[in-house]
Amino acid sequence: MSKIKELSEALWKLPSQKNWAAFSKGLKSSGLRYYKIVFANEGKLNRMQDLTKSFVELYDSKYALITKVPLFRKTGNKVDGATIYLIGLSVSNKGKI
Amino acid sequence: MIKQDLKSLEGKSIYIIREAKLKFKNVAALWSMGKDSTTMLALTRKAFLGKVPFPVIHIDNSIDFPETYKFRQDLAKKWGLNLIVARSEIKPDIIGSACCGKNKPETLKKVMKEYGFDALIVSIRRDEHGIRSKERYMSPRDEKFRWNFKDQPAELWDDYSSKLDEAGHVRVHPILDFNEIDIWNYIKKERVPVNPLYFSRDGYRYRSLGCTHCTTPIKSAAKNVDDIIKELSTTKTEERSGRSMDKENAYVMERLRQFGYM
Repeated sequence: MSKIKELSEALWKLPSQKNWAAFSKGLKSSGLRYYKIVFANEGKLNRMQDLTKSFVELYDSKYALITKVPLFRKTGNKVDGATIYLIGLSVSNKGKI
Repeated sequence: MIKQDLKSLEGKSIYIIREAKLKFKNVAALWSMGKDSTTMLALTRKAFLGKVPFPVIHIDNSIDFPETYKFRQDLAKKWGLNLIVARSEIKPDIIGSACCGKNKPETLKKVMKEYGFDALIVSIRRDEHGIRSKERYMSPRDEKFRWNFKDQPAELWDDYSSKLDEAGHVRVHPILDFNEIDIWNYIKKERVPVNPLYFSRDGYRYRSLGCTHCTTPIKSAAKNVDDIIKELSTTKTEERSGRSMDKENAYVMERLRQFGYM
């Protein structure tokens, strides 16, 4: 788990394509199983830049919170969503609604 | 929900898809990786001996579910799809939700122009939403993607309109007559692959799929296709009850569709 935490920290410093690719690679052997997206501003997503305030919680198979990662990827000044890098995880439905 | 004859629904859909391919020069299909558009692709494969003979467009706002991206990746490879991924922005607009609203049609306009498509296969169904029930099988749009639902061509004796405003395009709706339970019965019968988000985990499942921002799950114990069919035969909840833009305003969808929303 420490490796994936390191990769998460790198993402918080710089959510570049390179760091996301490394994170995505590390995800396979991380033991992480579920994700939960937390949108900022009470879920009001009005522009791409709002993604920078949102994040993703990552859980293991027992729903223990292991780490958090940003929801976005930054390429120069351009901001994109980054959920594609979470392939392999399943959405957490615990505590929905 | 009324159960219809799957064989005749399939026959009509295949006929419409083949007509579209024959009548138009440059056809494309929209694929959201949901059950309806995946069923449409399965019908297309049946119509063209196991192939999808036109490009498939995914309008991607970059915050779809990871499960949806995985499904796209796997099925595109398995079925040999010519996939066009068009990236849409999230930005404020006057109608709908910022992640959909006018932004998806704007992206679609750019792709249609870039590739010169004159017909677009869209997997909407009449039973999904009041405004969608006003659609024709082949429905013209003008150059600004506007839809005049008060002035549509008659479609008598299976003779579908292919009249085209020169700068516009025609929307083709091959699964218009299916209802939700027909889709699931067809998925069962033809073993159509489906996004795993439709199946229950921890007591919830997604009944209608959008992106991570505007879709919420429903309470459900349905863990497989049979369970879903059983659940739908008794449910009194609307299919799109988990889609935020539909709930916010009853007229949003009508306005969105006038602006070219799918």
